[in-house]
Amino acid sequence: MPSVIVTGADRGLGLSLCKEYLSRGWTVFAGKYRADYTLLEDAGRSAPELRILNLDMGCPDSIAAAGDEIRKVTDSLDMFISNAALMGPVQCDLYEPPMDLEAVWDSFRVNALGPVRLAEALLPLLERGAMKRLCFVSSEVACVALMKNRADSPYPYPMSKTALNMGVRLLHNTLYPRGYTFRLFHPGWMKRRMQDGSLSENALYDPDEIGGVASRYFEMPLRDEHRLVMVDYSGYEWPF
Amino acid sequence: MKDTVLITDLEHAFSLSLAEVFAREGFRVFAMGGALSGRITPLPSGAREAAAELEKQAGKLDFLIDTTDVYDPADTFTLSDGIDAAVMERVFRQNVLRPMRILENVLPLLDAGEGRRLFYLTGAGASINGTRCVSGIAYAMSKASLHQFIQMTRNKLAPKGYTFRVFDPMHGRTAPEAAAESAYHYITRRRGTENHDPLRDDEENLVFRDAQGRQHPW
Repeated sequence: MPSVIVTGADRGLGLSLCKEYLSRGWTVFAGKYRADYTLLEDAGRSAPELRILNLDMGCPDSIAAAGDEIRKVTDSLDMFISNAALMGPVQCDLYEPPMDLEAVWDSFRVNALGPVRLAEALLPLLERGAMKRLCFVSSEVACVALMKNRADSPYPYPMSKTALNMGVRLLHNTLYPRGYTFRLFHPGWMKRRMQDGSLSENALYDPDEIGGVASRYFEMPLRDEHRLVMVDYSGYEWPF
Repeated sequence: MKDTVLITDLEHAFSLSLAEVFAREGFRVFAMGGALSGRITPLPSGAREAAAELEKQAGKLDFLIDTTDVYDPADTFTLSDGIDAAVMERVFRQNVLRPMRILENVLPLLDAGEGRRLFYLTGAGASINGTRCVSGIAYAMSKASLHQFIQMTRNKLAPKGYTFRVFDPMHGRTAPEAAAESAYHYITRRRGTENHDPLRDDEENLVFRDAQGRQHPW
């Protein structure tokens, strides 16, 4: 059966993607960051194909160790899904100095540099996989043109997602000629999965519904793989 | 009173030429660090110290010309042959965090000025939708991030009358003196509002132009 790595699998979309692929019999390597969430372990009780990896996307040693763990189990990997992201309140307003610029660096390190670094670390495994598919969860806030007139957003998260899209473009330029295909996905504003498994109210989408859509989009072949596009849950194409 | 200009980096021949063009045209030019001619007033290289000195000497700033544009000689790796984490961090801190820190420190002086125009350097290789590059990763990812910073800053400052320029000096492909003349005219040109003016939308939308006036996608 195919194999996939999913980062940020503790909860939300990452957890939903893991459950989707496990339900289809895939071997799932799930990157876990938060010790206070056990939803992933709960999902794995009836799924021996689930392998949980401790994975901090901002830490090069953690990324290397995750690669080593996967290589102990398999010599190939079919699909890569980068979903983990760092976001949250930060002090980063021009008119309220000093801005916390380390928060900008941390977002870049986790949200942009981490995914391309993990993809690089896993390339030898992906090279022997059957799909050679690299999937990245991005956001509409990555698009410079679309950010016009959105004055309420703090800097770090959108800036890091723009850098991620640049990294994906460079990966595409490098690897598409070698047979790799890419998915760039904008999931929309999803409800947050709480520690007890319930969903927060202040968002639009259920991560399980988005996960179902995303998992099929990530898996299916497309006619125009040479184009790097960003799409949302409804298949609508976004500028990026 | 003469308009004041702050050039933030004189590392490149382009930046030196641009500083000289502003001085030649009668602006009061300040520059952070670097070797200077007599017509340009040196300031400390640190953002806070430079802003304090600028306030003491001029009390305002009209044009912020952020010429920070670091391309590390070691930034030649591709994403399939090994990312140099030290290069990534060094370039990001220079190309992104330094301009953020500078703007934060000089913003009260810009608010006190009348020009309210901000200029940033970038390169065509940092266009997500245009680049065909496979290397120069640290530069491309850092500048892409900077582009979003500029757009988000524009959101905050445009209602106060600020305008923005994002410019590719085409290092190595255009003579720095010619690129500096082009940049000067782009920075100081009146706001394009006439219907026949092909650049008329530049004040309403953040755009990215090169030294030959061509617009690049983000």
